[in-house]
Amino acid sequence: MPKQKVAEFSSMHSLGVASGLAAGVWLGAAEAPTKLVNAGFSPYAISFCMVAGVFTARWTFPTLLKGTKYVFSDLAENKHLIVWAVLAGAIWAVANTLTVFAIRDVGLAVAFPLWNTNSLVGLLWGLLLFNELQGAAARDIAKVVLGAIAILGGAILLGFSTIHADQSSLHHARAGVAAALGASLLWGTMYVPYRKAYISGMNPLSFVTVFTVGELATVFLLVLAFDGGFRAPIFHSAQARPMLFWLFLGGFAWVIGDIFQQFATKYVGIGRGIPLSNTNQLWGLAWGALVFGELAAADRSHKIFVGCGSLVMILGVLAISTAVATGGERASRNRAIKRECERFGLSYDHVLATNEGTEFTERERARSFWDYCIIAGAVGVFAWLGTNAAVPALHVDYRWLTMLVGILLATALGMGWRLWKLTRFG
Amino acid sequence: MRLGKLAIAIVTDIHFLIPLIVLVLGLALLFLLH
Repeated sequence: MPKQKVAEFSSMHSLGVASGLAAGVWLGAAEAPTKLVNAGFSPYAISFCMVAGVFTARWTFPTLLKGTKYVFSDLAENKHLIVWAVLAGAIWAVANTLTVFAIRDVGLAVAFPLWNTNSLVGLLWGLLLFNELQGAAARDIAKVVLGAIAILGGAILLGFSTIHADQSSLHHARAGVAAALGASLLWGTMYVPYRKAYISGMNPLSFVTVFTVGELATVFLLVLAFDGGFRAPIFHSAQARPMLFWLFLGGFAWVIGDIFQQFATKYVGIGRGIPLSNTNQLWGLAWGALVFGELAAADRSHKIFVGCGSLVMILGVLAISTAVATGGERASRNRAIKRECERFGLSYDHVLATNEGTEFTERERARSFWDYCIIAGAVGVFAWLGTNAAVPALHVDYRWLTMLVGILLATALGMGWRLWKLTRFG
Repeated sequence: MRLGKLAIAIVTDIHFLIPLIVLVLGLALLFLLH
């Protein structure tokens, strides 16, 4: 293979790896604002408000990256993928609700490791459905598989460090384990539509747009089905408004994390992408421990769990980061792309170029007047909720808060710049 | 591609069927647990 081609592959690989790690930073931070919510609403209602925040946030900053004209033109070009994006949103919503049941019935200690096996489910789907790792060197396969297992192991250790003495009885154990395994299967399978979109040449921002619609519609239906229909407290209670800002803020962080996750899936596939974004556990713990002082009373064994878990996770990240897809694996991926193009009548050269990040499309790049109106409206919603937000009496370490917000901004700006430079957010 | 042909290509695609089956299983589990 020519040296220049190898350098291009390596550069797209490092872009995908960096996107996966940036996803971990932002997805971990998404949990932080929800810690400020203690209004006694059902998990369905909390999930519904957060997803409403995700939906609104999609129309803020991401609209600046690609205007609505571009997104709708991309969707029109890939109409068939709208079905997959809605499906992925629905899968996310059902999996998220199952985790609530899992935690209720078996506690976080058992539930968390079970649903974190989604990376192994994703690895399997990547292998079976998208030719991932086929044609790869044995050393690279070992790095990806062991790296995924190490990140899973690290997540389990970190999960143990956050356990409190609130374990439920084993009365509902079977139901809880089933719920956690169900969430794992759903969250591992959710990446099938993700990957499908990208081997068909769709832009991640277009996919996320429809994904949030599927997500919002599903959580709304779940509230109607399980939380009292239109009489659900979330639709009527005056207590809801002061907490909405924090849930929307969590939704904002989540959508930025998800966009990075989409780019990771696009450029390194699901086998490598899922474990990398699962490092969000490390960042979630950092927010809890450093900003909210959750480990202040932790004993020595808990602190050892944190140290070992973080180290094992970092080793897993290193293993996956260095497993660059070689020519053989790229050829397998190109065969998967060709199959999609033949099935749905797409242009193979165009799709291949978008996957290599070499096609800088200028298609309808300009923002329209409507884009600015939409952004202003969405930012206005956040501002209005902010003026109504209640700040609970909770210990917050402002030095660590500033530092972690700084890391978030640096990650978004640094990765945003890299993605723009190499792919124009393509 | 015409709409009918596109619809058939979608519903017979293994990449569609597997996530759909998993979603239905997830919903069924949710109803059982609720």
